[in-house]
Amino acid sequence: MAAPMWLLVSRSAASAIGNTHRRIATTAACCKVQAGRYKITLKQNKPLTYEQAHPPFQIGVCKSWNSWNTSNLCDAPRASDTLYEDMFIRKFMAGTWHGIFVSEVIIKRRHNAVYVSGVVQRRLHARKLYFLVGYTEEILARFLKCIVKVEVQSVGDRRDVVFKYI
Amino acid sequence: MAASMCSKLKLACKWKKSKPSLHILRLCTQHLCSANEEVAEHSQEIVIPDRIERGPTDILRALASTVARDQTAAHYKYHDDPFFIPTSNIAKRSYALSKESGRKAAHWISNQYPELFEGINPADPQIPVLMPDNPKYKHEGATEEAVLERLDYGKPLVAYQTYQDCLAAGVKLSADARDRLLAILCYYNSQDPPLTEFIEENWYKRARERGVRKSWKDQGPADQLFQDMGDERTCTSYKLIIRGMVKYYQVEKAYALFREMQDKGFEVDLSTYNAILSIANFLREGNEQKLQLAKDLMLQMETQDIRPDLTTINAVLELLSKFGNWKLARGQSLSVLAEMKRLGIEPSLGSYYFVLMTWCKDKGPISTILHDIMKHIDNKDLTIRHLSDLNFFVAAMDVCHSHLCDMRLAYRVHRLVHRGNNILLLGDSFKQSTYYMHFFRLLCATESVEKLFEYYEDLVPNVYTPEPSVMMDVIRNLDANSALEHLPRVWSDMIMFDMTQREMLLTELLHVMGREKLDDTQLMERFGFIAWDIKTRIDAKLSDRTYKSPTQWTGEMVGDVIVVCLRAAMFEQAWEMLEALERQEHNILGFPSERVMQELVEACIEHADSRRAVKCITVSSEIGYPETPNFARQVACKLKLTDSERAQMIDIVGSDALESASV
Repeated sequence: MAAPMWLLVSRSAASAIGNTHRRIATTAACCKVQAGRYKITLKQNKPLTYEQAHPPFQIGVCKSWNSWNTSNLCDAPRASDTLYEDMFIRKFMAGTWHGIFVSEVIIKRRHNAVYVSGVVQRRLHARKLYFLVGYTEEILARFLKCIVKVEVQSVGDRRDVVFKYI
Repeated sequence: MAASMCSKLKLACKWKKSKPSLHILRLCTQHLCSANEEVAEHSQEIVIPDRIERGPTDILRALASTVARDQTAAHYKYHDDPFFIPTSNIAKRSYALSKESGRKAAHWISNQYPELFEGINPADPQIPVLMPDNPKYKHEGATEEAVLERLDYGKPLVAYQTYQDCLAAGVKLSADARDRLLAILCYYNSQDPPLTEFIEENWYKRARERGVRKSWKDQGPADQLFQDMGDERTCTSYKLIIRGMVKYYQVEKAYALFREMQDKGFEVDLSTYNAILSIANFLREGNEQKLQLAKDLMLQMETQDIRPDLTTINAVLELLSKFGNWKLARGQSLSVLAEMKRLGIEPSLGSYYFVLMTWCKDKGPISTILHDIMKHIDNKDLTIRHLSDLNFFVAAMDVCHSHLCDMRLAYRVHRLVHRGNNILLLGDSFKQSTYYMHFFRLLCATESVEKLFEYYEDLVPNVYTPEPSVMMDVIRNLDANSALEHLPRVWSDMIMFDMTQREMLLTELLHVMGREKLDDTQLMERFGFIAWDIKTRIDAKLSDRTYKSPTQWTGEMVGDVIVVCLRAAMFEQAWEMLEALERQEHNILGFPSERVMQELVEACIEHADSRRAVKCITVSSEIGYPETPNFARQVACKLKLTDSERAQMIDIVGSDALESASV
């Protein structure tokens, strides 16, 4: 019997890194959908935001999208570019606004502009946050070659955005 | 029927100059269907108006004109979030500048590491403002094209370098190319052009930094280039260098070149005359001579048949306004205005500004010329036509406040400022706050509390944050109108505006609160809390070593805090204040007044606290108040004293005073 296509791929991938053993799991657990879901902790003290508390199938029902663009509509261009840029923006925000964002980074594309928004905590002086706003807007504009706007709202403490503990 | 209707309509149109009333229109539409053919016969007179040329942003402008500035929201450069909205002047300034500083940092990175920005998402076509600032020139080497290309990229200094390479290589540039290079070098004073995208810095720059001083680069690239030209200088090169020198106040050389230009027989044009007129003030000593020079220049213009424009007239008016308190200047300025009218030049706000400056001098006689000026510009939508236009509103409000003290006129000016887009003519941040400062100080001086707070609610803090001097006037106004119930509000605003360490303000506030006892116990309690809040804030800063200039306590302030606390039934706090006074005797200047001591003694009696009463009397006698024996007598009458306390009192005031009490 000929091996299914994915098996061949994985075999070649395995041989590429010099591993001769193939490991195939055939249990039901492997098919479990896990993305965007959080495990309950023993002490039930893991904080989740509203966004995290809802699994992905609730998108468009209880919560909303993190990236707003039209690249994935029928015949729309730049689907992969947009995804790549969004990942770039998210990584940039995580590094530049280190530990300041307490929500997901929401990226909206309207006309020729990119709006990066989210909730920040008041850990730094407002003056320093304004510096970061100016810096982020300008440097992302230079990377993405379009207008970038940062729109942030603030909360006093990280706990203010906790929706529940699991 | 329909025909008669139509003729009626036509008649109505004739009477009303083609503005048919709504009624007739309605009638007309009712009969339109049946009368269609006849209308076609009679309607040859309908004229379709010419198409009006619209700009690309006209629709946006029209939409914007329907929305007024929301006074309750912060300026849109700040984020709409309580944490990000600044209230004090210093916060407004630092937030705006921080944001811009962040953008500058990004610029620097982009220019320093241009290779990082090329990989991702290359724009096609290229967007120059988003690219690192290292343009790739098409033309290399020492050629005329290379020089011009660098000029087009806004790099005058690089262009000048290329020009020098040309000189060294023996390549000769055309006269036109050299003039273009000279024009840019003169305009920017042989420097790279300032970045226009950083607007906040300009907005917050102090007026005096831009003031009148020579900043022309002597022997700089512009001068060098002009010398290199030698005998090939054209009329244009003279005009360019003169205007450049005038702009950066190299007045002597500019005038010398002007004379040289005339001697060589070049024809001087309007803008060069304007430039020389604008520096006439520096070229001669004495008012008569300056005026004579201006007149000579204008006569030359007349012989050349050059018609003056707004800039010419404003330059003359500016000259007249610089003449100090010289009577002749006032008459002259009016005749210049009359001349302006004769020439058909509409005066700009700047012209009126110079007239105001000429007529309303600090030490001169009172002049009501602003009333006449307002007659001309009231209810008009103004636009900027000359740089000096931005000074008018500030000067007008200043005149209303310090010269005329006329609130009604100030309202007229204020209405004009807030009409349409006139507010754009108010100038930068410094001018704007000066304008509002004069407006509010005048309000405080002349208006009732209600009227004052009507404007206060409207403009503070988003449009304008009052300076300490204005807050002082507000407190005095409340005091004069006995509207002390607004004081708690003023104090909370003072906290917002970061004025809790202004000694003058705190002294005045405490003084007003401690002036007299009011019947409103609730208000007195709130005053007590405010006084205690002031005390804690001062002490916090005093113990904070990093804070450079904390407010120092004075005896007067201590006294006021004591009195206010006593009236708010905060006896313990009042006592703590007195103890603080004793503890820091050497740091506190002055003493609480005798009235304070009396109230304190009375409070001790009321609380039947003989120990503290004796302490009060000790302090009072140490200060040396003549009423001390009286206090002692009161205490001895109304309180039961122990033997040691009595002995202490006798020590202080002597036995006579006490015995007279016990009799």
